[in-house]
Amino acid sequence: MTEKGGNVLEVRNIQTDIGQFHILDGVSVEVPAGSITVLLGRNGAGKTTTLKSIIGLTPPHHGAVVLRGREIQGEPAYRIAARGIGYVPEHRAIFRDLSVEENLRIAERQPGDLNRRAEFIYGLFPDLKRLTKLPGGNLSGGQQQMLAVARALVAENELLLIDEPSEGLAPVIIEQMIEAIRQLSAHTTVLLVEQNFIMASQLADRYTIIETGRSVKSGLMADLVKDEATIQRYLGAA
Amino acid sequence: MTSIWKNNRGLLIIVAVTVVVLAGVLQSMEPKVWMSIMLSGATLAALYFLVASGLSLIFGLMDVLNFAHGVLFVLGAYVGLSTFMNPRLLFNTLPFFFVLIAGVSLAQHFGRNFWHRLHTPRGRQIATVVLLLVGAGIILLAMRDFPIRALNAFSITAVGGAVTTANAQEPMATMLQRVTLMLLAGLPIGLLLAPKEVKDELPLRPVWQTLLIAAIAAAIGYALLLVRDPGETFLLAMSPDMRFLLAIILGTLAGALAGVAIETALIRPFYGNPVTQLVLTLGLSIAGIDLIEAVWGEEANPPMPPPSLFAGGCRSESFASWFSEHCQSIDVFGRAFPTYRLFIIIIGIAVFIAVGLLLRRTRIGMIIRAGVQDSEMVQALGINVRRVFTFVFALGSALAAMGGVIAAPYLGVFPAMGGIFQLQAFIAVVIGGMGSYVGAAVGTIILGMARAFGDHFVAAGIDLPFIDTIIKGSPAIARASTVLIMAIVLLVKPAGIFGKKEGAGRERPLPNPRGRGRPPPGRGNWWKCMESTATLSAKSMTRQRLGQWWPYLLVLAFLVLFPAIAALTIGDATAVEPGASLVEQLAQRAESGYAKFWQGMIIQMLILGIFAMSYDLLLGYTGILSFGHAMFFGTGGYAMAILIGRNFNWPFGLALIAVVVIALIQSVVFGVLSLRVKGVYLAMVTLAFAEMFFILAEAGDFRAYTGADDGLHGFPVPGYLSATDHRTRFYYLALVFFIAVFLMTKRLVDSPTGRVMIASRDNENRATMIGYNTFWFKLIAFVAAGVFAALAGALFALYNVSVTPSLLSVGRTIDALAMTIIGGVGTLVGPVIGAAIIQLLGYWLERWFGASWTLIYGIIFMLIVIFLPYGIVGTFRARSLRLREGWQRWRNQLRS
Repeated sequence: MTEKGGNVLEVRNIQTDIGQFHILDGVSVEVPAGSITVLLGRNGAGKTTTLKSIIGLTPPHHGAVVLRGREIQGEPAYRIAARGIGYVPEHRAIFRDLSVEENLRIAERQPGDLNRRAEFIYGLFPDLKRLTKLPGGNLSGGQQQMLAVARALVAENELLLIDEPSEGLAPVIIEQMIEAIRQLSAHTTVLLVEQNFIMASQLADRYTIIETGRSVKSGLMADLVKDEATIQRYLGAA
Repeated sequence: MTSIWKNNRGLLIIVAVTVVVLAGVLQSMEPKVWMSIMLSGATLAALYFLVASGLSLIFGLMDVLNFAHGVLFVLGAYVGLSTFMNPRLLFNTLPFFFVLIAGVSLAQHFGRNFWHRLHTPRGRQIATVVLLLVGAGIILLAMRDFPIRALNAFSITAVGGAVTTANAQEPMATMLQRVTLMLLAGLPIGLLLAPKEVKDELPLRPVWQTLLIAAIAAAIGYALLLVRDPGETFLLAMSPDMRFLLAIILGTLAGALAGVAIETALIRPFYGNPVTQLVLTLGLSIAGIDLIEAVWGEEANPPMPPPSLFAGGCRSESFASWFSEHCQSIDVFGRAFPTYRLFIIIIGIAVFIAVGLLLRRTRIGMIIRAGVQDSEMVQALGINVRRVFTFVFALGSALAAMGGVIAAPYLGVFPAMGGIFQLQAFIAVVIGGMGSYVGAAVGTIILGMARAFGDHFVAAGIDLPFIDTIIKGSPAIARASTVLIMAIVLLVKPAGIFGKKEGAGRERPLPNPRGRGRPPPGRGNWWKCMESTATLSAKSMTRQRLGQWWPYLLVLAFLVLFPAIAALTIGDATAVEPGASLVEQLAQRAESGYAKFWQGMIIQMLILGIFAMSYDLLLGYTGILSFGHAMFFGTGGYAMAILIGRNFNWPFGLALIAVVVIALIQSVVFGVLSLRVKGVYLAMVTLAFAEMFFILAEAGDFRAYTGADDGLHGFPVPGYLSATDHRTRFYYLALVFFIAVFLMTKRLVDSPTGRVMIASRDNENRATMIGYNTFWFKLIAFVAAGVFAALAGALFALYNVSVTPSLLSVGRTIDALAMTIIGGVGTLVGPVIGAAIIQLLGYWLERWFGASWTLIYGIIFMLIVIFLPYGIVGTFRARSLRLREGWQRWRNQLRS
């Protein structure tokens, strides 16, 4: 669905504070169209904050976020999202009191979005189809993760930000999730945060490593897999 | 099955007990009796619901506890009353609002390049100040000498009566001038609200739409003015039913508009800092009521005559005959019940269903329900939550105002009605569970029934099975019953019956719905702003470790020497007896004239200072927002007055010990009860507990001891302590108490125990995980604060030689809160400075402005909160005045 070529998203040297804490101190990421790019790094390195800074929930006070050639940093989160970014936050953030269907319907930007995309979404996550009337809070962790990803697919987004899709999931479910993300990446560019290196290496085309609030290295995933030294240095034993 | 029992044990027990009690009570009554009691209860419940539902929705979605909700209720009542009884007032005032809207929307649209052209921040600041001053100036000019009182005096017209006098309103030419000036005043305000950044893709309204809005608003404004005489005649000649409908519509609209205004100006710039929002709505609740009194007068209006649909002098047998004959009462099991009250019940049910459908069936309802859970995620889906916030605030305000209009024919219209309903709505919401719509409904029904059965219990007594005599309750118990119910619910289910969030003390970071710019300092944590103050103070402390004590010693020296200084400078030299020694002369001069007066002022500052310090021990050091602190202050005062009074005649020392013991017991009991919940819940719970004490003090049942609503006056204060005869001696007594409390508090907050209190303020979960049972530390703070407040109350009673129920009122707590906030939260000096300022401010404002001084006070209070977010001490410690920042923040956020 995305045109080929060029970068969908360029994050240029952003710095973000939360309260009195400097979280990001110069992060740059490039996300080529049609790719799956993964942000790697240790706990607390600033991966999640990078995603939140892109979507505008923790706006950067310095640097630029460029979506398809247009600077979007500093805009309110709802406007950034409406420009075509889907966000799957860590811990899923399912609306517990809303039914599964409502959880999807609320993500519509035009009336009828869900009906148009239902086939695609339920094709990716067949489990959700039989749960539509259930409150989101009653779902299992894996189902909630599927719902969170599905929710980001309801509107026509050209970029998905997915934060730790494997977090707290059983290995079988992780396999399903990998498969689903691979399938949806045929339609949408993906920027992924993932601690699980195996999953990241199976999915991603490109990587950026973040270390204490700075992006320190990026390149092709295929190269990283061979580069034991880098893995050892920034990610611990892989 | 067992899990249902386990999870809902408390609830099920409540239900079972209620059913048994109800069954016991009901079986001793005739159906017609209990039916009419239930209907009375339902009437009250419907009115409570209109206030509580909005309150609950607003809190659930935005974490804002709107203390100004009662003001909206009163506003609705008065606008409705005016529409119904005195349309002239509306024809002469509504045009101002319409042309203002026209002016604002014009300037907002065409001035969108205005801010863009001002390149420097300094230029923008100057422009903001100038625009604000110009706008306010033109408004003042437009409204100069506006005869609002005369317009109001007209409201005594009989319903349906013809216009009797034209004197009240000004000539058309004057009014046209005023209205046109108001149109002009809209222009600078509109510029102020114009978008700050121009982005080409910003979806601006098309020009024709702006022009149309402005034209329509201006046309309505001028047209209303031009047709004011025929319009008035027409309205008064209209069927009262239609006019009543109009009153409901206009009252509701007024509430909605006021809600939008409050949300835009006071709530929106402070998302992420709930305490500021809460304090601002508190300030508004003071100023708003004064404003309403300024427009409509302070005196209570008799109930508005109900519309003719409910006014026929007959008693109908059925609904059908009511509709055909318009009877004022209807037959329920052989007992007459006013049809108008039935109408209130119907409105309540209709609103419940309508809003319920809105929440369940519409997209905006879905967004609201989602937002209650996680408004940040809703934003991240591309939805402008802020607009939904404004909508919900307007909706809640409109419902409260509508409640006010329909309550007018039932209860009358008076400025204090809002406070009463707000308190009951708080209690209902706590019972039902904050943020739960159904909970609000259930809570209000419980309260309505409790009040109705309580009143019946008082009036007729109750004939319990197995007991021969008829037991009669006292009115006080009926009034306090709602608080008791709340206490019971809290004990079994701290989050309320339908509450899901435990105690509403949510740990997830509060969203910054603006999602733009640097997050405000309060982001992510309830008490961040106080934490910052504390951090700052810690920094400055270490820096001046050596000279840390000298400012204190300087102030102490001044306070110790003050009577002498005052005696020499402002004492009355003629009061000196001939032949007195130098020391005697000094003492005599200190007991005279202004020297005596100013010692009195400082005594009161010291007493209030103790009270405020004790409050800050809770708010600033432990993060407990209590609205019931007055219960300790007042109980301390009452205990002292009663024990040294005629009933007991205890010596002063013994009475003082008793005051401390009583305060200990009281604070332990209510501490254990209230500390089950957190955050805003605790605020409401303590508020209700304090109200219970207020009711008990006012009740006639204990008149022999408390003097009921008169209070106690002239109790025998021992001669050697009399503040009238020995002012200087009392001064030193108060000073000793003050220093003692100051040192004890300082010792406490600097001790390891105090550190844990601060830790539990900043992050209670973390403190718990480190291994502290934060409950005990909070209880220690609660008890210490309670005892100190009781000491302040006892001194207050001794100094004034009188105690009144007002010592226990919410107003006292709000005073303490105001002193703390103005002075600086999380410091010990701050509250004392705040106390001094408020004492002086109150004295001077009352001298300059007379009765309307509280209005000015409320406004000053709000300005301080906006511009000095850390209070005076906090701001001073931050080294740079934050005035500019506060100003900028307010303006920027207002305009976006």
